[in-house]
Amino acid sequence: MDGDSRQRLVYGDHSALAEVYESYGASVYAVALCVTGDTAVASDITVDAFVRLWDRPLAYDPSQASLKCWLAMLAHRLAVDWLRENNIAPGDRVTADRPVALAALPDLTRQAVELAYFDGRTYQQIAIELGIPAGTAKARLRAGLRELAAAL
Amino acid sequence: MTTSHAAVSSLLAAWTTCACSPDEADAVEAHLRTCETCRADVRGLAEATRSLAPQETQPPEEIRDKVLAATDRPDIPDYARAYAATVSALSALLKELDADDDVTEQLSRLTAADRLVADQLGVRDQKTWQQQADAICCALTRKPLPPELMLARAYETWICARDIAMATYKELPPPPPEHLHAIAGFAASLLPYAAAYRRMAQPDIVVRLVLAGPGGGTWSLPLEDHGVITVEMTMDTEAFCLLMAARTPPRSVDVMIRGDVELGYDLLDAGPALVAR
Repeated sequence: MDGDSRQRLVYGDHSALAEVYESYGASVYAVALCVTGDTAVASDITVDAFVRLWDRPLAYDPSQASLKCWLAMLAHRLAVDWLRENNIAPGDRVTADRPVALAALPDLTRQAVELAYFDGRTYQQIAIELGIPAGTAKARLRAGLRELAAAL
Repeated sequence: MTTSHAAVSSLLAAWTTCACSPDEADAVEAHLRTCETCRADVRGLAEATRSLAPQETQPPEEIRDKVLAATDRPDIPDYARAYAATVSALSALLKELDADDDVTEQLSRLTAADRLVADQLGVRDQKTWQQQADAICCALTRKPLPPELMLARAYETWICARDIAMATYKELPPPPPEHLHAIAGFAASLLPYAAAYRRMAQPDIVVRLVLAGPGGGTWSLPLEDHGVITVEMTMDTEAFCLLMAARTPPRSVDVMIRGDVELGYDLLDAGPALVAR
C-alpha cells in the first residue's frame, strides 16, 4: 500500500525504502535508461530518485499519483534534465524501442509525445521543429496523453 | 510568467512530460498547490505516462547497495526508536514548509524541552532543533537513558509536528502502529498521575483502557493488575493520545465507558491536566 509505505518512510523506516526499491527500482531504471541511453547515467539517476524520496518523503502526494508512477515521473524528469544539461542530440545516443501504446496514436500527436517524453524537448522546441504554433504543440501533447489514458 | 488558471491548464500535459521551461514548471507547481481542478487533471495525465514507461529493466546489483548506503541512519536502541521516528517525521515536515511558514515558536519550545535529554547525553551548544535532535540520536547509540524519558520526547515531538502540520495546512500521517503503541502506552501510564493531580486517586480503582485501531492494546492501571476493574474505557488509539496531549477536548472523543461511567468521564477530563500550557 502506497499510503503505508509513505507513512513508514516519513517516520524514517529504512526497511520501507528497501521494499520500495525492490518494488520499483526496475521501473525507475528502465525509464532513465530509455531516455538517456546510458547505463552509468541511468544508474546514477536511479540512486538519485530513491535518495530524493528518502530525503523528502512528504513531497510525494499519494492523491496525485501512485508511488510507482511518481517515481517514474521523477526518473523521467531527472533523465530529461540530464539530456538538456549535456546537449544530447537525438543521433548521439542509443534509442530504445518505443512502447506499443505510442504506435497506436495518430501521427501528429505521436510525434509530439515522442519528442517530449523520449527526446526531452520542450513544447516550444517541438513547435519550432514541427513548424507549428506553440499552442498547437501544447494541445497535441494534451490530446496524446488523453488518448493514452483512455486506452489504459 | 502568468499563473492564471487558463494558462496553467493548457500547460499541464507539457508539465507532466517535463516539456516546459523551469519558470513554467514553477508556475504550474505553485498553481497546483491550490487548484483542485488542475490537480485532478494531473492525476489523469500522470496515469497516461504509465503506458509510455518502458518494460521494467533490472538495474545492476550494486545500485541497491548504493541507495541503502546513501540513506543509512544511526542504529538507535529499541527503546528510543519511537523518538528517532518522530524526529524523522518532524524533519520531513520542515522540509516542505515555505519561507512564509513561521514555526519558530513551536520549535523553540520543543528544543527547550529536549534540552533535559541533551544535557544528560552531554550534547551541548546545538543551534537548531534539527541539530540538537540529530546529536541526541547519535549520542543515544553510545549512552542509555530511561525508556520513559525517550517516550515522553517521542510523544512531544509527534504532537509538535502535528501542531505544525495543522498550522501550515500540511498533511502528516500518524506514527506507524509500533510507535503509536509505544506512545499510547506512555500516555496511558500518565492517567494515574493525572488522577492524583486532580485528587481523584483511590487505592482500589483499576481502570482498564482498551485502545482500538492501529497501534492499539489493552492496559490496566495502576499497572499492577490487582483488584477489580472499576471502569473500562474503549476508544481509538490516536484519539486517546491526542486527548492526553490536550489537543482534543475530552467531550469530543468517541469513547465507550463501562462500569463506573462518571469516574470514566472524570478521568478523561483529568487526563490532559499534566500538559504544560
